[in-house]
Amino acid sequence: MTVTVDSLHTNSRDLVRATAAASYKRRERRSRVYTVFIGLALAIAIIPLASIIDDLLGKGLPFISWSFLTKNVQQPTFFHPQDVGGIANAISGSLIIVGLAVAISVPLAILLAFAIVEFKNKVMTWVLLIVEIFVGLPSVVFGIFAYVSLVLVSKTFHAYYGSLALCFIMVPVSTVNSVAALRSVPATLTEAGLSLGARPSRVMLRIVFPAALPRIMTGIFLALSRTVGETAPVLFVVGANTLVNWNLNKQSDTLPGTIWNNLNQGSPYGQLECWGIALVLIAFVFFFNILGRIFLARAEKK
Amino acid sequence: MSSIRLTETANDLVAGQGRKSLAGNDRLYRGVLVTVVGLVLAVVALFAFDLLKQAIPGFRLAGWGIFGTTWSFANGQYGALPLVAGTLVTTALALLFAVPVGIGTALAIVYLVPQRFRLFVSSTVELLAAVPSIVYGIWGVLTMESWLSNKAFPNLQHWFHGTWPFNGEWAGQGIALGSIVLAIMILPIVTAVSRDVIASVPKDLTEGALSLGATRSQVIRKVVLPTCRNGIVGAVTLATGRALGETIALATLLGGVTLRSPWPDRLFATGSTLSAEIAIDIGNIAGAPGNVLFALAVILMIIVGGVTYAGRVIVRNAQRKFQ
Repeated sequence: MTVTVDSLHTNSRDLVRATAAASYKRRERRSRVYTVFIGLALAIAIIPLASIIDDLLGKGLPFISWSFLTKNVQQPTFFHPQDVGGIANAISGSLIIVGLAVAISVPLAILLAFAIVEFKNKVMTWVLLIVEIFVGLPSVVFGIFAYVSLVLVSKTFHAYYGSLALCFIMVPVSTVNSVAALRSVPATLTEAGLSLGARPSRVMLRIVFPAALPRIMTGIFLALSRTVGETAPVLFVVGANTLVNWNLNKQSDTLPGTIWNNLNQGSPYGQLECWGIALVLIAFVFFFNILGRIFLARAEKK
Repeated sequence: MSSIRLTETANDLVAGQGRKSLAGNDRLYRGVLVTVVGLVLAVVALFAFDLLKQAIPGFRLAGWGIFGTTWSFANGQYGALPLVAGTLVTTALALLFAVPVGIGTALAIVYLVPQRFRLFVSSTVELLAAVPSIVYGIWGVLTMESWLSNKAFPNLQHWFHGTWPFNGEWAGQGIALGSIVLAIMILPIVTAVSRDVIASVPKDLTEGALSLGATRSQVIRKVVLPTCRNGIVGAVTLATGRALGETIALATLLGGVTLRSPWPDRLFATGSTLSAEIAIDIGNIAGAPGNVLFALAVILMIIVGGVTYAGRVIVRNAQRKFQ
């Protein structure tokens, strides 16, 4: 039998096709195993996280009411053991403490970021490195530092001690984010400004800073959303206050601190109340977080 | 020759003038920036100085006892090794769970979840990563604790007949509870950061591989994961730092170091971590013992710094390989 060139051609093509198909089938089967594993990871991740969300909404939402948000904490009476009042004192405390921290940190962080971007020398690389190290430090370190160097020295508690401790978290995070934002502005803009004879300060304040502002805002709001929930640094230095308080010089309650106390004092109702307080705390965190994301979306649209 | 010199001087003149006027008008701006840098460096120096000033007497007070196996702050026994072990063991267990599951979840969000739900799922994960750690602590105390005590512990003892690491008794709190809460806490962080990195892999790379006949698993294994290596290492480093330094969520979940079983040598042992112990004992600070807590803080910072540095080295080596 003669083998024509044509038949050889078709045969080899079939062979190649068959081999490729077999290989593909084998690889596809392996791929399916992979897909199952990935899906499994998703399922495993969802279970505990869904449990937390379920607890938050299921046990936390019933607590949320006007009086819960506007009344001060109070001692339950014998006849009304569940009448523990609200958390207005903790909300006011968290707001002023975080507010002062923001007022100190934001200008400081932005100016520090200006300096890091503007001065290109060895000292500033060291400064940036130090800032990055501070971002990674455990927050309890700042808590114990503030406790020993402020509370133990002055023998008193003040709300603004908490703000000072929070600055150690807020300044590094905002600075690192702002530096990244300022550096994301194209160098051509800076060069164009300088070549037109504008002074460096003018280029920075009128060109680079406005261009980077949305991203800087994102960084600040993300730092803020982390700061609001920080417990360890403020817990030891702000004392306690059962009344609504807008005075930074007085002692103060905070939302995370109230959760911590309720959790540890062990009355079952107080522990359950933690879910309600957590929901309020998370509302603040998400508010800042989502605000930051809106700015980010706007920056990316530009 | 002369013309060249002429232009040179002209250039110098213009440049010199320019520089001079720049310096003159920017003096305030530069002055403010330098002041801020000086202020920040002064605060950092004060912080470092104070930390050492407090920690060195602490190390001296504890002496070689800091390598002891008994931590009892109230009784003046400052053996920090169980705390170091507790920190490392809980973090390692948490990573063991959170890293594979977190990366898998990130891959699932990018490649498996239908387009319609993708935005919802990924923003949920991002928000969960922002949830304060104390909320995970509440969940640990109020939900996980009873589940572990009533369901998981008896069943595990029954199935494994009390073999290691499921042996011994369960005090209601301990390493298992703390590690689980830690794992759930860092899971969204690992997932959110990895998802960001995985989603930013250029389409040309993945589609190129697909068009060459690679299956999805091959694309993930041979294209996506190698490309994302640095970002994922960064995610894991970040999560490790958080886990090592976590204070509040763990302070109520670990049960404390006891004389009978100081070591976290089984899942259901009680224990403590460096940062949790600082938070627990800070109420009893009086004079000298407070310095010991600073010594703990310094040990903790050394561990965290080491992990961060290791992460950077891995990233740097990877970058070198690509260059």
